[in-house]
Amino acid sequence: MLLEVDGVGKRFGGFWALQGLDLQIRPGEIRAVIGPNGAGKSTLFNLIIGRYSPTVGDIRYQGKSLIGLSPSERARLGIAIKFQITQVFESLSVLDNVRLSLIGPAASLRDLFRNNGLGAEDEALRLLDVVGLREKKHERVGSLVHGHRQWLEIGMALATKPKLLLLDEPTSGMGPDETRKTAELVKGLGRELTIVVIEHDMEFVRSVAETITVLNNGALLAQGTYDTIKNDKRVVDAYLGKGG
Amino acid sequence: MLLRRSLTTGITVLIISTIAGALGHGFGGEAGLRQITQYLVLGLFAMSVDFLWGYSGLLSFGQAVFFGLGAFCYAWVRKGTFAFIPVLENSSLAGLLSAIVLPALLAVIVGYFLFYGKITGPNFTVVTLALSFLVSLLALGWSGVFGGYTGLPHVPPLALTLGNWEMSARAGMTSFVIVTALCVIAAAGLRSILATPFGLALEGLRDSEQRLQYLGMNVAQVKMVVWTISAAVAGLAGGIYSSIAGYVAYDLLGVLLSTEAVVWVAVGGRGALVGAFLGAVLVRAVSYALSGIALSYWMLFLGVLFILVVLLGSNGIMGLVERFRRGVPSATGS
Repeated sequence: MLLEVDGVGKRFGGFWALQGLDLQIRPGEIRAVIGPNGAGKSTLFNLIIGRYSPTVGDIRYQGKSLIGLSPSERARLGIAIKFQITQVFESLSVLDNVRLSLIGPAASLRDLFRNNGLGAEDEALRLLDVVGLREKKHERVGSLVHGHRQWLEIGMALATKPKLLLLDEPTSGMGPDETRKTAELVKGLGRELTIVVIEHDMEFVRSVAETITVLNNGALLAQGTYDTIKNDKRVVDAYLGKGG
Repeated sequence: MLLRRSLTTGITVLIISTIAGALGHGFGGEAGLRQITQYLVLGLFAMSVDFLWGYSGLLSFGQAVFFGLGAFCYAWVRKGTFAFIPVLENSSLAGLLSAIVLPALLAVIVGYFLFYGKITGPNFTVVTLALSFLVSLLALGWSGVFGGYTGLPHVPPLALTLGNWEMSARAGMTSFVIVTALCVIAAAGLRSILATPFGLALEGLRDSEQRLQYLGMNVAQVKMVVWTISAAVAGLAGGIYSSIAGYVAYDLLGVLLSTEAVVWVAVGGRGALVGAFLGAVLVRAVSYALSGIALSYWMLFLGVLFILVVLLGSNGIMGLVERFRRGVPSATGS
């Protein structure tokens, strides 16, 4: 297993955002995590990247526990994220955002001071090709439309050469056309790396993921293929019935 | 690209210095030139603040601690306080070196607690403010070393000996030339650092420290380095300042000078080294001119200026230059 979430619970004050969660992600898998708002999906991601540490339980990555490692250490191990609300470098150009992301995980201090091809432009442009933003390379990120910001952040995550890519609602705010493109992108990336994606768009989820994990009220509700999930009465009650 | 940018920055600093020097000499003769030379040193100090604030987003109200410590280091070495240490016998070079090294060391110690203690944003600024208060009060109390209210008078000027060649910077023109050269070198040097991947990391730090962390960067380490470089430059400026002023006192470490430096950078424009340099020279020169008219009003002037810059929301003089450049397309269409 690439990632094992083992009996993880996270409490904020008196509220358990996640409780007794077990989850296994195989290498090479594209896994979708769905669930109503407040189900604990983003909390799960935040625990994996190290923004929060679990109140109970363990998270193992490549067989080793992540507990106690800082976010940057986890990133250097190959865990990358696109946040639900995109976090990019607003005053830099699209190209420099990717260049900086190429620099991010590599850097010993000495490397940072040398102009030795670290954050090289051609490598950054190749990544912009992957996410379809080459033509926007000189634009300031502050002026990008929402969908393009999503793609940019995915490109930045890719620049860190991740093994595990976490995508938190990559299609939010996108039209049908952009959503379809994003699905193609994710499927393409899935051939080379492991992806866990949080999404509300069920059509998107169906097209990219073999296995779907459903969370509700901070706990695992159901898990299986799209068809199993679709016909699961508990899931329909908790999520599909309400959310559409 | 790297070379060109450093060159442009260096040359711009040279031009500003030359114009300021000529004006100073024109209006005030030898004394005027001496005055301007001091402002240039403060310009160097301002660049260290801009390096930290304008590029990396670390707003410190304690930068004078390093400037002041540098000033005292030079004074101590030149007045023979450290004469028992053979390397630190009374020489200008040792004075300037200690003015760089000691503030940098202090920065490493303070920075360790600040950055590995994860003190960020407004908390960082408040802690640096407190640091400035603390150190200047400490210096005031420790009068045996820092000279109390009266400070340390009669600090010898720069005097360099290289083989048969001997030079003393007592003459106004010599010290002006030396200071200008140092400012040009420092500006070009800082600019060349900014052109490396490290420089890009600094800009990322300013925009989103968190994103940088989740990309795998050791943010605390990057902050330590920029903080220490900035302290070293501030210390060097302090060392030169005391060689020119010939007098150092506890207020060089204090909150007032720290704040003033932030105002210079705000007025000149953040994130453009040259702007900070110009801001310092200009604000000081105008303050001086005004103090001739109404002695006690220059602080008021400084305050009003700062409020205006903040209210107008533009990035100081450099912001205006930038706007002008964009508004009026050049003939080459760039």
